[in-house]
Amino acid sequence: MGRKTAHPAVELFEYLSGRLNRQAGEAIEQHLAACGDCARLAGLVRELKAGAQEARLEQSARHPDTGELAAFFYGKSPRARSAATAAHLALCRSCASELALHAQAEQAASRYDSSKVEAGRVPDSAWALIRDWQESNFARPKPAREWVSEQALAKLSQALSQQKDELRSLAKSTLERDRAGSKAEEDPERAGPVPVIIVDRSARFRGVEIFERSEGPNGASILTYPEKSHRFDNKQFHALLDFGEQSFIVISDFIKRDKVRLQRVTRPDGQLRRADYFIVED
Amino acid sequence: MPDGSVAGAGTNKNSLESLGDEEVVDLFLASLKTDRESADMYFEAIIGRYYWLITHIVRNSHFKFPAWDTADDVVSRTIFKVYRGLSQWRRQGKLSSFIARITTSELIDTIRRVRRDQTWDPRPVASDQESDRPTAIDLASSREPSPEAQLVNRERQRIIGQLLDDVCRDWKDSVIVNEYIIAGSNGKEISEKYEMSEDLVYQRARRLRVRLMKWLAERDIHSPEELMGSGIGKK
Repeated sequence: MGRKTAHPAVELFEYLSGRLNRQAGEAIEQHLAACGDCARLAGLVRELKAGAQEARLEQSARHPDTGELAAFFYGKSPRARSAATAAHLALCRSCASELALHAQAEQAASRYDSSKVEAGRVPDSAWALIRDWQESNFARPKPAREWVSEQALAKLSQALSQQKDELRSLAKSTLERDRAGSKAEEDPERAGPVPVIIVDRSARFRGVEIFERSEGPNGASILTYPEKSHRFDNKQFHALLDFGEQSFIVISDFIKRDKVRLQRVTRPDGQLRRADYFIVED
Repeated sequence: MPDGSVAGAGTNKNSLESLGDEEVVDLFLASLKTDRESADMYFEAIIGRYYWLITHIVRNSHFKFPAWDTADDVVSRTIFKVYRGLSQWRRQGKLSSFIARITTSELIDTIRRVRRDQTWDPRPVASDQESDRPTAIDLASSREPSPEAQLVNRERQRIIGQLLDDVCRDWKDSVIVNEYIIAGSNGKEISEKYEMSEDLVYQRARRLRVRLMKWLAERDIHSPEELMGSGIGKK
């Protein structure tokens, strides 16, 4: 039996990629013949190489979208999504090359000094896009008070009713995915994760995000967006409080730095039975 | 946030130069709903500072833009998206980084769209419909593997996916696995492509080696056959 040499570190990868000279390669082969751990690792790397080949053919339909790619690069995507994106990027050459564009852009941005360059200007074609957008309905923000009008609430309520089962199932699976369990849903004032429905200005369902509720002073609820991405900063957070058939109100406040504080509301004519939370995001 | 009165009091382009990015963005956002002319002026000032960053990022990609979607088109769309998205800037990072992110995302969207378009060949295939001779399509052998091979491949991918889920902690780990371990690129190429030092490439490769070995040891896997039959990740 040959004498076992020190475990190769990156040299093993170099060997498996065919980049070592003959002498160095032979030394690695001798080591692999004597070391089970390194031989296992070499087998695994060969499987990765073989697997990457097949994965390239199959993964064309499952590339992360540009938002996911950017969020992953900047470290803003939640753990579950980032694990899947990390695995994809480890195999997909085209997505890895696209991510390289982010790395290069970020490097350029970090070196860029706007005071040292000649002032540029907004091209006419960009102004044309901006004007088209401004003239369209999408660009006209409705004041929150107007949005949370009786008609908007009725529309939201109708949308929620129509999709109630789907929304509850989605909220529940989102909670379970965040390892929170579903008990928080049943008690509207309990600390813990709460699902928040995201809708657009037409009250169309856009998704569900999880906020963490904790108790603040004087019974207020503090809801925090755990992703810390500031995605919803400066948007209004609405709580639709159901005190029973005769008593139903909305309280709102702005989200600042991923947090919003909602005062505690009590009613003499009923107990809080249910609280639904939503954010309007275009 | 400035109350807009500064905007109405004759803020001109010269005085804007002395303001920081945050201040100009605040002025822009404050005047957006009430004073479009001032908002445009502030936005021109912002883009005036970062126009060359945007064009550098787009042109430095070395992507060959088609005639119907040029680099200038990408720059214009980026600027439009900056206009729409400035309210989302969180101020923790630099404005340059925020704009770089928007630019690169628009660039990637364009690249993907152009590639999808280019897979479709609009030229009609010239064919003689009266001919009895088999066409090239008739003669081409199937590229699909057998159903058994497909099953094995899918299982392999599932296990590899689980492995990579576990060992890749961030984008640097992913690209080291992809480029260095699997594709066999050298450290220098990777460091230049991904703007990281060569030392970091090797450091990450060493760490990944340790994690890969630990992954195998934790699952008591001693061979590729055991790996494939391990049932790892199955619910």
